[in-house]
Amino acid sequence: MSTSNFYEVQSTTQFQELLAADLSRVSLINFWAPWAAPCAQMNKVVQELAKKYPTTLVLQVEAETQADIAESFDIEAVPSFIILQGHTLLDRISGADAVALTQSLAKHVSAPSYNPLSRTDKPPATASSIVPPALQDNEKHETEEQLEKRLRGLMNQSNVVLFMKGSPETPKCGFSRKISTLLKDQGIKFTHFDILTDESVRQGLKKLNDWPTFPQLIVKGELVGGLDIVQEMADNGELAEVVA
Amino acid sequence: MASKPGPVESSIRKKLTALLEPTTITIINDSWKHRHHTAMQEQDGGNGETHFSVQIVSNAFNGKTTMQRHRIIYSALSEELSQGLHALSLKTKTEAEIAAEQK
Repeated sequence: MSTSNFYEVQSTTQFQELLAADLSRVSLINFWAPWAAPCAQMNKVVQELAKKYPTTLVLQVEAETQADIAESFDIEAVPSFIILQGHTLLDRISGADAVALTQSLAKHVSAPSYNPLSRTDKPPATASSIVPPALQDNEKHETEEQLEKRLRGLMNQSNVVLFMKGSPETPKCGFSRKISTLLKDQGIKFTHFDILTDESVRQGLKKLNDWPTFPQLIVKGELVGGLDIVQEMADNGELAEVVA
Repeated sequence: MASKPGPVESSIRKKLTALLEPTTITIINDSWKHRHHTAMQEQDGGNGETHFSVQIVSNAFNGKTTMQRHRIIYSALSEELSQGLHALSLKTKTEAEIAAEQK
């Protein structure tokens, strides 16, 4: 009487199919030969083990008739036993050592080779359709006219607008720092735009104002100049006139 | 302490001299002062020729506002500005203005 997990292997194909049917289960392969007396005893042991561990695949392979299989496992003597999980070799026992075989199988069958940290039968969560700001495609694909309109809007957002690197509190360039300090010292109220945050404004404004550098001070929507010019105008009183 | 001028500095001097026939022209390389700024760090500190101070006295500036003078210089150096040259600190005077200052 055979249990459903026990097979006498008749061919290499069958052998491969049986193993491949479930790669997570443990399997015991018993290499035997009818002329070796100890095998008779061990075959009985193996059958008992098959009953005891119904989830284990137990394959009995006559080593000489299934020479290819035996060779692939480097079987040199019978009985020999191979314990696999899927295709991974867990243990190899040579000789009619019932105790060793029993212990080894017990060890490998009870301990799964890995423990998932969590299990779920739920499908993966669907991704949010809201794109976080950091990942948004910042290339607004504006036309030149749209960009110009946006730039003019920015330049006119207040009486005095400073296009700088960083902010007056955290300037990212010596010139930007100096000019914002200068404006503060002169008591001039201004808003700012950090050109490091927007590459289209940075390049677009250079073109629009025909001015290749930053900082750029805009008064009443028009470019007044960079640090040098603003400094000069502060020195000769022109600056106060221009912003009034 | 002055080391040999690099290619950018030489180009600035050559172009501005040809264009403005200045009485005096002084070019100082300030790049080292800006090595650590964020924008420069992105370029790995820059190539050592990123920031210059340029002082020019030239009568070619007569009748031109400061802004116009600066525009002339920027446009002469547009090639350099589109490459490694990052910023220019400019002082532009005519001979008359210098004389007046020195009174």
